[in-house]
Amino acid sequence: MTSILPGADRTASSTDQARPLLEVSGLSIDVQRSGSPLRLVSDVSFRIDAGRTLGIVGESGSGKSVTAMSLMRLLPSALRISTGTVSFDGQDLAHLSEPQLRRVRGNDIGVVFQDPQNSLNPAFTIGNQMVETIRAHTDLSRREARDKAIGLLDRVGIHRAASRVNDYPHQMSGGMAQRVMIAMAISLGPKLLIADEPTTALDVTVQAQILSLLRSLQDETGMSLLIISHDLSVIAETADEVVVMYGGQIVERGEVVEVLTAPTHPYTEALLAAQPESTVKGMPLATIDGIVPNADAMPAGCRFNPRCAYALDVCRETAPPLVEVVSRTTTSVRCVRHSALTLRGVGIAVDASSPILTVPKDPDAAVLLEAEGLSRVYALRGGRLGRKSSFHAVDDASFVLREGETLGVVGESGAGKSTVGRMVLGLAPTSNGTVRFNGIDIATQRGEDKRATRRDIQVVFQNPYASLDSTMTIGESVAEPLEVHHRGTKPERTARVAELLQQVGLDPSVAGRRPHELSGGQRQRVAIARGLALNPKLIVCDEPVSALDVSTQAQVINLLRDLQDRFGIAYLFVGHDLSVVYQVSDQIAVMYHGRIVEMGPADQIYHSPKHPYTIALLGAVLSIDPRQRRLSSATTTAPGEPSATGCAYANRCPQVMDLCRTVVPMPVVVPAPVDGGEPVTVRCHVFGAAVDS
Amino acid sequence: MIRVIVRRLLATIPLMFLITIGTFALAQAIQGNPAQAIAGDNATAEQLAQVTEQLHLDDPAPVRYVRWLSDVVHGNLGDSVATHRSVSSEIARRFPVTLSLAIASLILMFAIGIPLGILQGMRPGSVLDKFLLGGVSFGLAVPNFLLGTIFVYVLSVRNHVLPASSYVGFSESPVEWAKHMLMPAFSIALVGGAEMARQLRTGLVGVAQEDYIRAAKARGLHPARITIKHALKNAAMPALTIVGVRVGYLLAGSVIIEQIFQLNGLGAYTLQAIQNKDFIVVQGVVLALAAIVVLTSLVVDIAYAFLNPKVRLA
Repeated sequence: MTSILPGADRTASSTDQARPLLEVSGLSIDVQRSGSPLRLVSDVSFRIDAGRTLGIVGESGSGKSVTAMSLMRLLPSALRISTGTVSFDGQDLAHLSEPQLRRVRGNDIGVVFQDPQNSLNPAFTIGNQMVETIRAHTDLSRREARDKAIGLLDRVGIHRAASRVNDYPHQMSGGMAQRVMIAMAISLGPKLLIADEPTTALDVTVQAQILSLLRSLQDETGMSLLIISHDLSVIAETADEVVVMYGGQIVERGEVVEVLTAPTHPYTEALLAAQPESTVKGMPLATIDGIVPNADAMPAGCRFNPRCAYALDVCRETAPPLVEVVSRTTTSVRCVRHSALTLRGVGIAVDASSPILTVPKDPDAAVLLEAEGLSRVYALRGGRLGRKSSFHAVDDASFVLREGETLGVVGESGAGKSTVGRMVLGLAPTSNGTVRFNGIDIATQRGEDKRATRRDIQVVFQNPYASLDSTMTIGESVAEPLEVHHRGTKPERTARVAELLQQVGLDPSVAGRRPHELSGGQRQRVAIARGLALNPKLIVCDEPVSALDVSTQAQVINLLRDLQDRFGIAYLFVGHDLSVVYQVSDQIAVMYHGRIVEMGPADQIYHSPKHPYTIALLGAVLSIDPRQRRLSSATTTAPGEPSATGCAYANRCPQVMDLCRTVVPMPVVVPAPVDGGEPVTVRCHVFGAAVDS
Repeated sequence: MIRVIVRRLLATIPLMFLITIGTFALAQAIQGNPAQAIAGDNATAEQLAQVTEQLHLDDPAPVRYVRWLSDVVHGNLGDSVATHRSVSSEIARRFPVTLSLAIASLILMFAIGIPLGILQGMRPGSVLDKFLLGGVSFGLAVPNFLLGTIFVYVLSVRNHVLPASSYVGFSESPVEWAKHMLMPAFSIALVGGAEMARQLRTGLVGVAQEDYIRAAKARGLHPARITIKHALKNAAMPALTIVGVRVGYLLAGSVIIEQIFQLNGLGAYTLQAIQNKDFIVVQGVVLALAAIVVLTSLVVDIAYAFLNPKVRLA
């Protein structure tokens, strides 16, 4: 079989696999500003051998993306490489002229960016952009380039490539767009592919597909891969070597199994521990206190020392050098205490095979929220001849939430999980069904009753950057619900704001500051304080940790659980990451394409999933142990679109039957297993004959 | 794409209908007693009664509106009160002059706005950008009648480089047409061109921050190609909006400019009609101009759909 990928024949010819393809040494990057330039990245060195994968990991602000972008000089104009060399295939990319560099860009090195839909020009078809790229580096005719583009789209698993080539970026889902970006990046058979947070903007299942695709392409072409991610599991699943960055420096570097199973830097240990998978359910998540320092306020000594659990005086005084670890073959570390410390790596923290069934909080707790047959239908214009059709954002969702409990709603983007939250809040009208709060249908409430319900149900949104008004101080934002509902006098409100800020772990003095002065995690704490202001019985948390770094994510989750214990608040917790939702939830509802496909106790869902979609969702959760990778490069085609008739999952389901394509499955109660636990409800024909007639 | 055009075209029908109501109402407001205007200030009560009866001016306004509308639909805008000439044929006679001026102004507006905007937008903050920014601010500040007058004085009166007045049809002599159009068109186009340059610059500076520009760079595309193809098409939207808005100003501006350069276009006609309190002419001209503005908006809308594939869905 001949490959359409130009690099495919290169594997055979490259005899010396250990030859360094890319060697970065002493790389420093400055930001130009009035006065002295500010150093963002200092003295970074690493190498990537042919055919190997290097992962760079770190929190936002660690300098990892800036480092990656600097390799091909794609930095914003204010940023400059001040020292160092980037030697690639015998050339120094840091000192090439622009025309010379253009021949490397796209041709020898391909790049895949974080946000695929914004990385494609919205004004041109994807075919146009692919053809343009191919023709910029080859003598192919327009027609030949187009044929090549179609072949590439087919190779990255896009169905009906010959017609999708005429699509505009907005006509594609995020996963599709990222496949297109990958097709474009590999179109000229690059020796190196740089992937900057390639799956951060994508759903969990799509993430697994994209990473599998990258692996399969690498196997086929023998190219090297540089993957940048804030998510250790992405690195653990893909990389051969790992570079851990903090405060613009490399703090640890080495072979991935060596570094992740037995880290030598406290920061690496802390990052591993903060992963939700690392914690037994019910225990508080490990956090990294404090925040990533700004480049203009780097702490003296070791840059990690203010957040380090092992810091001594020497750490605060002298900046440690990056040294090779004596007892290791590949690891280098920037920590003076590394030989004295024994740090925990992966595999020690948690054994997922033996679930500890958490005690149900109070089986007799009163029902707080009850949704019955909830639907949200949008009329769609369009189709040929303007035929009317409708889209069910939420279709026949029923669930019960008891006082003081958490119901997790999990699913991919477009599953309808946020819409459920908005309907409970009364922010989106219901097309069908009822929401009962304390036994009363909220749609029938008027006047003071309605206001009382609104006080009792509050919300925390996903993006703490957008959900706080940038023109208001923190104190004004937190006090606003009190003002709206005429609670207390002004001094009383001020006192309440201080109390609330303390409850969410912030210093009351932040009340006078504005949102831009706080970190993402701090802002989310403010949003939570605002949600708490009116002593609600229920808080709808709409992806409250999705925009945060792992370390901050753990802090916010701990805070939410702590507040629940103290005040008995119930949460409707909407999320896309099953391991996060599992950590906070008593009950979980899994949604797919508007329907709740499986619902039951969190432990049952997480440890013995029933519905094929839940199984797929769990299967897509990446491993943080590089010795037990879960991804395979076997399946690389894009999954089918949701089915319009019958079960929406039918086109993706491995257990699909004829019945599934025509008849919508109704919820079936699957009894508890003999060894205990509670029954779960599943919408799947595999589990019974109840059908919608 | 065709669906967009058809839908926009259909949407102009109710709009035009509303404009006829507005125009009619406006003309009613100009003149307290139309019969007085028609018969003259010295008319006797008898003459007034006669005119009123002839023109059915004592009918209720809705009846007169419907009668007028049915005339308009048939292409008859009535006869001038002052000259008794058909307004429709007068507009048809003068329209080429105003159209010439509008088209020449638009061409100059693009010729000024696009290159200046690109030059500035490619290297924001450079010396050239700052220099041009000053020029653009100047262009925005100068009133067109002042510019027109200065042109006439410097280029025609003192130096006889360009003709100061009158109109030569494009079909007669394209070169002479251009010579006659250059000064008046430039006087009108400068403000629009400056505004376009500013919008285009802002647009390009904004687009330069977009991920897809960095992605295009990462694919090894030439910087000129990135600016001209990838950035310009996305940055053109706000600049295009200016064109849509500017056409209205252009027509308004032509009233004064036609006066300065003694062009017998719609602007001059309007001014004359207003001076004569000739409400039938005003009514007709306003309607014609409104139709032109609506048509331009239509063209701009269709151009939007061309530039932005997402608009095609809306």
